[in-house]
Amino acid sequence: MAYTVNQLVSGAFYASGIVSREFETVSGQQLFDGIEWLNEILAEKTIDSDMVPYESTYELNLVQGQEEYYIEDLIEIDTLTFTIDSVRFPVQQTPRDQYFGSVRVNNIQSLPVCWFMEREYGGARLYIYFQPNSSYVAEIKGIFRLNNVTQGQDLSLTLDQFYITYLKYALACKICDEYSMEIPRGVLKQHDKYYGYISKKSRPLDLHIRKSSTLHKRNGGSWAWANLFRGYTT
Amino acid sequence: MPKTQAEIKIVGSSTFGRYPKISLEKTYNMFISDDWLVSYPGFKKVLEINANSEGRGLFHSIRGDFLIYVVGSSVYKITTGIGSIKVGNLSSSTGEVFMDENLSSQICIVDGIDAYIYNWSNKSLTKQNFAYAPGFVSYHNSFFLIAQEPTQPHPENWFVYQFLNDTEIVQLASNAGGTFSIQTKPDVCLAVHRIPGRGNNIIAIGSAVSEVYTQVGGSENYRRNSSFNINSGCVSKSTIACADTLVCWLGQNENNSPTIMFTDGSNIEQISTDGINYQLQEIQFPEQSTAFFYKQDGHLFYQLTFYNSADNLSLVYDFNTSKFFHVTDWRLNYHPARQVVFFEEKTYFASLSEGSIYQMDTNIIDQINVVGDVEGHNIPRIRICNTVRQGSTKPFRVNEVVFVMEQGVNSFPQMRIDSSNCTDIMITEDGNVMISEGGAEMQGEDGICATNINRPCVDMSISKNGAQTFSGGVRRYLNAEGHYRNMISWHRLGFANEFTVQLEFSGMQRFVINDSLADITT
Repeated sequence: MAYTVNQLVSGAFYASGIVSREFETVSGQQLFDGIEWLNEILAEKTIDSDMVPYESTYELNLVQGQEEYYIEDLIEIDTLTFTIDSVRFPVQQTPRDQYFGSVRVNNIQSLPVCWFMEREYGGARLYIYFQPNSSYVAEIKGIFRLNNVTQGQDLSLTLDQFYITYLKYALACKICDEYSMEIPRGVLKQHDKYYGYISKKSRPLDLHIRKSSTLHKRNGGSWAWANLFRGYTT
Repeated sequence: MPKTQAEIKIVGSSTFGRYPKISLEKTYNMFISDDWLVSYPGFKKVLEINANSEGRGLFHSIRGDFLIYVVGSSVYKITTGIGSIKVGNLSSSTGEVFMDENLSSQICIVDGIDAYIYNWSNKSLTKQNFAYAPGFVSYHNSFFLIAQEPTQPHPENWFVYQFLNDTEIVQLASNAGGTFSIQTKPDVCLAVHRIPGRGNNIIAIGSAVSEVYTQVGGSENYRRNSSFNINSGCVSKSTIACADTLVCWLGQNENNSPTIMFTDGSNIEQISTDGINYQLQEIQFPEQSTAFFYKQDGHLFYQLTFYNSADNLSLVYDFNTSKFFHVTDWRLNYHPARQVVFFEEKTYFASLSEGSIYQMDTNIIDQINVVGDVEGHNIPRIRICNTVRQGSTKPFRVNEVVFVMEQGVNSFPQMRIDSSNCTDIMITEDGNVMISEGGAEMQGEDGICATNINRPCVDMSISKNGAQTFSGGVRRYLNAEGHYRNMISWHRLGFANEFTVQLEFSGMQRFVINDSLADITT
């Protein structure tokens, strides 16, 4: 069943106690404000990525010799792979200091082996090394920004009911803040409950452990290492 | 941000201000009894003479134990059990008539054109041959005191009449105390009336001044009180009414706009408030008015009605609680009562809008317009409460409005459904109603059954802009018969810095309501 942005905003105004469900309707200005505040809440999830409930798959066309790619709305990459003749090749994430600070040969075109991502306005910039020696279609598994919503948009087409309910309570809290009113206890309780569910359960927790040994001696890259994959060139 | 409570004055009167922003507090068809708001008397028709004529006056003859009822041009004697006997005709057929009785079985009827004497001893109605058009009559110490219409020559004069023979009265000679005139101001005399509880004192009411006279007897007869008068006259003589120790009228003078005033013969007091004074000031046809005193459940009410459609207003002042209320008929038009009498342990009034007599009582809860019926039209009972504001003017959130009222005292069983109000009843090809195995009528998917429209309920609407506009009503049905749980509440009423509640109580039951508290978050 359709659940529109207008319904969500109205429900939030009713839940906040600012507008009476039985006696009033949400005014045009309130609806306008509510949608704006709802988009602010959605935008917050860009920096609170645990609250983005869905992973996405993105196909990136790698271009021969091009190292940098701007990808709109990208927040976080979990995996980056490309496939050649039914064989999937992983590309490994490299820390910023190693990607930009280690010795390397810049003009080698080969199969990509490592990537690094930097956030930028409206999305992220992906760096790939080696520069592709051909055009590949890479597959990115990761999370992307939640899109802004507009008046009348059917949220049920893009969001599950649990997340719509969370957004209603989150918006109710924001409305109370905007009106300088105390958040009703019941609304706050519901908001916290849904926040907890989503942040802990909607995505797998990142439990990776990376050991850093003070005794480890890391070899620097060499020309020979840089040319290791020449034999796999297609 | 603490939670607190704000008082919603449900138990209140019509204390509205000059502008709604100041206050729109009004109470329709309810009054205050022992700090509870209760229903104002309903009324039922007990006698219909002529539905197309105007009820012009109703008078109770104590000595004769009957009523005189003037409807259109006809004069009726109303006897025990509200039986009617026509006793004669007047020359006029519209406008209020004034009546009073002397000790000689004579009832003087004055219609603004002529005076008539109805002698109930010999059952005769006789037109008197006056040299002027009489406008008002009152009995005092064996005399009829008669004021003339203000359009007559020497309208400042009022006259004293006494018994002449069975069918006539005669004016006392001028040198025997038969003619007096308003003297304090150059004014006309609209009415002369005895002051209740003040023995020999009477009051002559003009249009800008009123004078008190004392009967001293002898050839002087009445002597004007030289040390006291009232610097207020009367807008319309129809607004003059007397009871207990009071004479009350809609007052004005050459400088001041109308206000409701009363006197006990020694003091004068204004009872109307700013808002009511403004409303009275806006009355376009003050002469088309009527007023009377009556007592109900121990409360002394002064009811004032302006019945021209341009004015369409009835107010009642309760002298026990010193509060005003609005009263109406079932269509929220003016209250139809004109001239009330207490006869055979019941209160009756002549209807302004038709030639009928109604009985009014707090045990009657609706307006019954058909003689013999037990159920009539629902009289709307409305309360517009005070506007809640914070001293700081800061907004607040209204979490709940709750109050106590009597419930379960109606005759409505739980969810009574009137089957004739059901829609989409399924029928056969032959037009017969389809029934189930159990005999119940079968209804289509789109069919509905409406609950009885007379089921008692309360509709609440709210205003958040200083009582300028109100929301639509949100209904709460009252409990069915025997279910006496008494709380009634509305939740989550929104955010405002001015909050006004309007309640409308409907349905065939009495209403007994207490004050309310709103739970608010500041």
